[in-house]
Amino acid sequence: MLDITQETVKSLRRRLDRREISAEELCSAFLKMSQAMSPDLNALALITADEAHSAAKSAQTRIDKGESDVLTGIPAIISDNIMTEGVISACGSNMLAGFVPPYSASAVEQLKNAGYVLVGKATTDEFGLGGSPRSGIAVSSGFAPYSLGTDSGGAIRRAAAYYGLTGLRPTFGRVSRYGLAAFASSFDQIGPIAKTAEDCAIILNAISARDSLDATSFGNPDGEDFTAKINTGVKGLKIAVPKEFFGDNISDEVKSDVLEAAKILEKQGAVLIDVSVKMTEYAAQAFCVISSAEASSNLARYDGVNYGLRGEGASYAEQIVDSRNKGFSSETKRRIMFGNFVLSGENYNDYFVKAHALRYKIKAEYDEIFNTADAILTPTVSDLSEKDIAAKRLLPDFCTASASLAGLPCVTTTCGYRANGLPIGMSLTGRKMNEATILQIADSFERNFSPELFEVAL
Amino acid sequence: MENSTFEVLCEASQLSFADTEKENFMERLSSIIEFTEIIKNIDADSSSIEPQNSVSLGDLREDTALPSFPAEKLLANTEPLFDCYVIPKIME
Repeated sequence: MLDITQETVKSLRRRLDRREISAEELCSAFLKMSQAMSPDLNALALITADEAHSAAKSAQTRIDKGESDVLTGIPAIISDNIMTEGVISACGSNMLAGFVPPYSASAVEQLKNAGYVLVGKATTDEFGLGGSPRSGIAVSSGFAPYSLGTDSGGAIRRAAAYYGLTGLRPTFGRVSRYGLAAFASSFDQIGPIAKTAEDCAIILNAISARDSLDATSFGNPDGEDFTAKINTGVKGLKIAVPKEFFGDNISDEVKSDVLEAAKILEKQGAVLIDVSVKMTEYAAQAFCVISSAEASSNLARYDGVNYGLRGEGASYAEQIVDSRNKGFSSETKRRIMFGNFVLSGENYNDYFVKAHALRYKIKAEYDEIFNTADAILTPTVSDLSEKDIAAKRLLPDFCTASASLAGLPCVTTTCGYRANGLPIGMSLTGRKMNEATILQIADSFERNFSPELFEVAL
Repeated sequence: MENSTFEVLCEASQLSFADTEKENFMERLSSIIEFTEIIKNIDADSSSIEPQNSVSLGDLREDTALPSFPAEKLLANTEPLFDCYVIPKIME
């Protein structure tokens, strides 16, 4: 048998259903890997061995009764800024160190109902501010076949690109944000990081639901099966390639591999269209302004009274300041201060209003392209040196911010490897609520690029 | 960035900085302001902002009472002391 910790969700489902392995054996294999490697990789904030064994036992009972769901008995990692009832969810912050939530996020509840097995919580940048890279390490290292991460400006997609995985940012509203510690509320989305687009589709089927506890969620109103277009090829699909993402703001290696991927898709039957999205030049700045403004508001609740670490002080006001000084990291403080800067009276029109205007202009540009195209192909990370990034005034989320601003679904998959062996990711952005098509395209590419992922447990 | 602006932002953010860390933090804050100031040149004002329609305000949940969380769950993060919970002082 191949190393099962490197198999896909779909493959493991087959093994469980055929009784080639039990849910408890599967759980033990992933736990063993987590316990052996996580301390060195700093990927997990917590390993939930007892809960995992108990859940695996229950899952096996369901399987034996013939009542299993597609995710029953399949281990998972959840990012630490997503609430898991009874399991510490500290959001990577000293402010919430040791916090045990009394409820689970709605997306986690969906997985619980499906009979998932929680192996551990992935470490995250404070309140998901920088994203879910450790969720990517956890999956690529074999701690679980998939994880739930969070994506505001591109974290899920960058994690997938850095670690040779597939990551999906669903349409804003597709997955409930209830139980996700708020960072930037108009951007935050929960989504899967897995080994294939097909696995992402399976997980999206499980977690997309209208939730009365999140007024912005619409879930899956048509009861769509996101796996329906998997393994159907790309014949006739129109893929737009925006020139702004292939200039000197992207490394030659990345540019070359993403454009090569476009040619492969063309050979598979897709039609490539050259397009322009001029306003994306300002996307990272607009994202930075709006997300910091929202973060400054969301993080105001952590005052040591209603929530979080309690500091000391001679007065109530001093106590709150001390709580926040001790509870937040330096980078979070910078974002809070910048958020208050752009929201202040003298800067509001120059920064916050302009950033919002840019957001609508970018969305309009994308809508225009989607009048003719089915997806937009771009790199996921620029892969420039820190020196170049500073010189060109870019942010790490330069490639991913546009889809976040427009609230559109976007999937990243591996399309090549750098000279040093590290993966290169490409992103496919789709129309609102059209995850199925971008997953279809990513799947078609993966079957050509990583056939080994589809050969196990057939 | 002027010191007075920084102090106003500290107050709004409910944060404070020791003199030893203040200069470094002001530099880092200035760098993010400098990075984003390019958007000031965008030709747009609030009239160009259209509703995004991402929130279904006509579909909010009924304002009905739901069962509360069990008290022991809500108090799970407090410090237990004998048969009581220690609730930190809130009012001055």
